[in-house]
Amino acid sequence: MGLLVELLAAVAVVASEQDAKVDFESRVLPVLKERCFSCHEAGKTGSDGKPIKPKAGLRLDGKGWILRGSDERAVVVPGEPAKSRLYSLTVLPADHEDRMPSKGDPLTKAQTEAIRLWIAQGANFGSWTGAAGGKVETPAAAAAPPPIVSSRLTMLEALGRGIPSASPANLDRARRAGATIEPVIPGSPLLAVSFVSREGSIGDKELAELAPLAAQITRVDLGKTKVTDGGLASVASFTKLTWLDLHETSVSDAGLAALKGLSELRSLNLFHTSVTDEGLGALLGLTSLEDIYLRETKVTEAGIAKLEEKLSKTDIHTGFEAPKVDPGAPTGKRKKKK
Amino acid sequence: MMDDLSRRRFLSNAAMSLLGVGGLPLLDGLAAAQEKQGAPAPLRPATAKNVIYLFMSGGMTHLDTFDLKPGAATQGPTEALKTNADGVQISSHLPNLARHMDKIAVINSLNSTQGAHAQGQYFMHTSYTLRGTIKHPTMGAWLNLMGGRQNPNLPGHVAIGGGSNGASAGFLESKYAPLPIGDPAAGLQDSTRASGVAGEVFDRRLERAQAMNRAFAAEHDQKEVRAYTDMYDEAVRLMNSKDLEAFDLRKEPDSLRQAYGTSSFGQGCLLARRLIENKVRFVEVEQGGWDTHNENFEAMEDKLPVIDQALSALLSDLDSRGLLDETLVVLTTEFGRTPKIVTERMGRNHYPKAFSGLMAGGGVRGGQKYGKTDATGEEVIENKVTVPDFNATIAYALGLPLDHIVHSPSGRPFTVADKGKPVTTIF
Repeated sequence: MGLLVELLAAVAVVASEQDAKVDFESRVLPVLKERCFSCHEAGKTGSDGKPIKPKAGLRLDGKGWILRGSDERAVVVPGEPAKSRLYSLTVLPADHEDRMPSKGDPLTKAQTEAIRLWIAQGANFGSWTGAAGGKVETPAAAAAPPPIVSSRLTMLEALGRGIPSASPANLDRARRAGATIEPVIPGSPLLAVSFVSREGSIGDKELAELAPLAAQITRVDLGKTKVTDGGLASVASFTKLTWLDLHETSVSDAGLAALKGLSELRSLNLFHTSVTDEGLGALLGLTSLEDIYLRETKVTEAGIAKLEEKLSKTDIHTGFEAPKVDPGAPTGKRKKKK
Repeated sequence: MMDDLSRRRFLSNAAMSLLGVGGLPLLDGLAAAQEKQGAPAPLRPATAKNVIYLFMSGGMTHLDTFDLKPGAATQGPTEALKTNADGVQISSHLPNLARHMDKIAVINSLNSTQGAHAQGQYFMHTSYTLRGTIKHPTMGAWLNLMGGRQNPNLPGHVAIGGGSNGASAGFLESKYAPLPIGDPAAGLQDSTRASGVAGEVFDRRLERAQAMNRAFAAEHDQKEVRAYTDMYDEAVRLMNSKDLEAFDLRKEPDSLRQAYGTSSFGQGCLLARRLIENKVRFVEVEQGGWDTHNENFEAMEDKLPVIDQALSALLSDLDSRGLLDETLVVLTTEFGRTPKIVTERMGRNHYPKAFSGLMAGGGVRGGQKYGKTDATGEEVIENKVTVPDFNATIAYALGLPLDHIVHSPSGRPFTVADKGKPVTTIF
């Protein structure tokens, strides 16, 4: 029964929206003038001589100003009273902190209905323009800072140029194998692949499922997975690969041979693997390499020296440097002062 | 062994931080806001994925740490030490860190408007000032909201050794709140199956409980009700996950634990590294005791070696594992301390006008200083960085859209870092 009444009421509202056209100047403007202008008008000068700015940057004394909205956003969305704060804030409960007008009694039902209908009917101002100025702009867009300029992002942008996007079918196939796949930077066709929290169930077979994405993959995190030297053959086909993480895998010298042709490779993480000086031999031609991580490997000083000689621009991250500490160093507990 | 009470406590903690079930009525944060606004925030190119946020609670003196004024009357007994970065001097109590300054950007021109602890900490964490009518999200909550959780089995936001500084999800759903870890060495407590309950017994009980809940959930299909059901699923997933090991420092070699220092802060930094490694996006570690109204210089002899050891170990550990590249390490505080020394007690008082913070990794160019104070350390004279600016810089590194508006349940618009301008030149 109650529902029926509501339905009928809704029908009645719809009907009235179609029927009586709300004239802005005669029905809405007087309400704004009487109840809103005192705070939302052109900047005034207070009795103390200091300027008073319109509250929230919102002016309601001109068509352009109303359409501009507050400093934060639009207040009128033509056709959508529910999304228009010029209406929605006036119908909040009287004691609501955001209710408008914030001072004095709430608007009457007739007044709020006039505003609602006017917006629902498209927020037509008729011939009224009011105070000149104001324009619709998104304050947000003005605030956007310049994009980060870093050599890595520039490099990735250049590398991604002309690369076709991966097909949804190929993406699906890799995801079904457990891969988490994202564009390496927003909007780029190049892909970053990881196996977050599924590392233990990822092996050579799953890695092979990435093969159809070989043209797009630029980052692969295989850390802690079960991939083996044999599996790295799939990686060899990733011609745009710039970043490869093999930390804490069973990869050894034999596997590194597969990386020989990865001419774009910038970063190679071999932390906690069993690679030796001999395996590094396969990497000596990777002149793009910027960082290589060799902590907890079997690489010796001699191997590092050779790498330094051939790859003079590569940062070689060899190990953890333990801080030097006095034997009597404090432990964080404050000495009690006597 | 986990008794019934502690299991409940775990579940209720987990519910609060994982799923947005809290003591407070659920606020209709992001989901609703995004429904209203359509598409989620478009991310921008980023240089960092994760954050380790080291918070020096109490107000870290800038003159005795990273903004030295040798020869000035305000310097007091603190001595300056050259570092491996040209022109960067730090306290002589930080000799290990001096060898890592090539990884660090020092910001010497921080400026806050808040001079009391609670207000200052809140402002630094949220970019908004503390007020009675609304709670704002902390940076970790913003990151998880806009950047998403990376590891589905672990919370995206963890706070170690603190929790008193007002870091919360604010008006967002409480699933964005930090999971608090009191003692890093104890890890995540109450998170394993009671040893007296066999796996299948546990599953049967859970299934029975859920069967009973289903009728209720069907009748009351609301977010709060669903959240409790989901919470059981998530808690069980976490309990059974190998990722739970991320919280267990016993998995680290003793030598490495020693290298970070046995202090709670040192162990907290090590735990932070483990969590970041497991794709937790934002980890805060707090070190308290910086409120040096009395005996400021004596306190430095205690506090700084702890920071020196822990932060040096953290930077070296992250770097040699290939993690520093994408992890932004931030060290900050709620305000600095008066350059003028209160001589009768050799102390320094609160000073929000000028103070220092650090950023390292995550695309930040190390070995540089940004901003400058005058000869006494009292006034910022170059490149002032406000608290919103500082947080905007963090957000910028993470690719979070600074202009994306999220509405509170009451319809008010908020942005990450409250219109702060990022310091783009440190990248």
